[in-house]
Amino acid sequence: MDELLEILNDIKDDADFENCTTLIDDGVLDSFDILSIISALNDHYDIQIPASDIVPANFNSAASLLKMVERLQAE
Amino acid sequence: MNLSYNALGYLVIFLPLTMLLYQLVRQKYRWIVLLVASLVFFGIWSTWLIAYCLVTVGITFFIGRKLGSMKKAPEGVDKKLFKKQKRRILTLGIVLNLGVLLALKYTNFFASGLFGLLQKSFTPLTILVPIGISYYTLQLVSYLADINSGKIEPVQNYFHLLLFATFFPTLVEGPIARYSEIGNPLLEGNAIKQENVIVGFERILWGMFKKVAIADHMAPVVTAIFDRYTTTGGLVLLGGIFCTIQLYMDFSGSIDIAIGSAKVFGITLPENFTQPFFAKGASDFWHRWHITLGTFFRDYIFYPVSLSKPIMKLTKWSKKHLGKAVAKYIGPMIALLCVWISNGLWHGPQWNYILYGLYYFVLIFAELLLEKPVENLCKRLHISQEGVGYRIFRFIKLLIIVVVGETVFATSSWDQIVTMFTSLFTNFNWSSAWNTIPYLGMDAWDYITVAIAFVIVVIVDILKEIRFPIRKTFESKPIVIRWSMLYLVIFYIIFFGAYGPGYDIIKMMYAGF
Repeated sequence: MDELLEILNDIKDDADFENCTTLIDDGVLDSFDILSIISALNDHYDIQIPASDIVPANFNSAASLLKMVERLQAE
Repeated sequence: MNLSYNALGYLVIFLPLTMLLYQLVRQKYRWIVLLVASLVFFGIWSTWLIAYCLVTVGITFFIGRKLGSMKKAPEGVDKKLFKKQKRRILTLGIVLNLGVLLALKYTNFFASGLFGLLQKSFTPLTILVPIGISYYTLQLVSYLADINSGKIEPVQNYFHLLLFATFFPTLVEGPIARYSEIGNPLLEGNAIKQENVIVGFERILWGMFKKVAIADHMAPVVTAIFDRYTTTGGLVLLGGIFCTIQLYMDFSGSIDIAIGSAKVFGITLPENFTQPFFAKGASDFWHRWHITLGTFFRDYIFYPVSLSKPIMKLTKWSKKHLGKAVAKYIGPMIALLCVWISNGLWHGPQWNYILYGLYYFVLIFAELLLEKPVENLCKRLHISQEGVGYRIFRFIKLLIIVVVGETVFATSSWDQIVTMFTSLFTNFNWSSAWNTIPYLGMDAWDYITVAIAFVIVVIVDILKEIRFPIRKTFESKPIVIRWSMLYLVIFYIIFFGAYGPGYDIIKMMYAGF
């Protein structure tokens, strides 16, 4: 999780990735932030996040992002 | 019978009759009442052109079922090959849907361009287009894409999908709803509830207020300026401001009527406007203006294009050769360009719409590039971006951006755009403009009543923006006050609206798209 938080904070340093669970619902992340996050996660974890995975449930918190990464790594 | 949402035929006959029939039949048949009402509504607007919609829905229905049956690769079948097959079927569905739309709406546009290139003369073909085709086509595309990504299950009944595509409140101007949002509520057939009727009709009334008491009054002035006074800068500026207000009041008012009409049956449609003039910039404006079109383009063009293999490869190449800082903008830039060309073209086969799309592409991409530098500059100059001064500056900047955009949007040719914008700098002539204002189609009394109605809408928008609980406060008032307020709005519409003898029903501005 720490590794993921580091990546996320590098992309957007003014968001509270550690505690926020409404990153999408409250508009903390916009579509450009989402693309930056996807690009960084794809590179770092060697995965391919498809457009169909861009749903609030996957991007609302660091925990849900990690869950998605782990699922895609297992596939 | 005129079935514009603001016409008496719709409000006094069609909607109440549908409600009555809906309530009279048994719960399991109520969706059929909605379907029949929607088909009658469609038929009155477009007669036999409904056939296009019936065929498109049929194609979408079968392709949707096929996609739904391909959840996992069967044993022994290569996963990649299976995915490719699935993508081909989805592409076929999207191409067929968009093909009908393109053939009907854009044949003349592309053919005249092609003939122009070949320096040959072209006589435009007469092609009749069914009402709402741009809206229901996008809904059907989203339906297929959502089945493909596993977000929804395909329907098993053709007529269920037909209802989703043609549901009468959304047919003419949207909002562009997703199947996951309204699919099930449309079929549930829940009884009409008193609270939904109250909320629904209040919303309809509010929409009527915006459209009839403001937008429709301003329509003659906007038409006069854009038709006859394109060389007087002062009037061009007035025309730009008026057409912006008219478009907002007309479109958001019609959407209020659509949302209210659906609410009466217990169906909640997605919102299409959230106080757009309080946006922080062009990008934020489009998060608040025509929201369902913006989210459609975001989900089905921006993300898929950004994450497509060629773009990912290009981004990787850029990282190597141009550096990380440049590479991160490559994908979003190309995807954004696709979105805004699509947005422009979606509005119609005219160059002014394409220019309108490109205008917002440049502005939004510039905002993306300048976000950090502007933030740093403000820090250096000790300017708070949340301070009153900066917010006023931001508001004025947004107004200029939107008014320029809507002026381009409302023009009908490249020559007109050039003439109008040139006149702002070469022939402003404010005194001539001032003297012409009384002859543009609104008298002094009209200006006063429109101004009062406009201020009321602005106050309500401010209250919504600061999240003041308007409905809760309204409902907490004694019944006499509540009804008095409703009667006031009704009387305002009747006495001061552009309605009744001497006025034609002014068509909804987004109905032609």
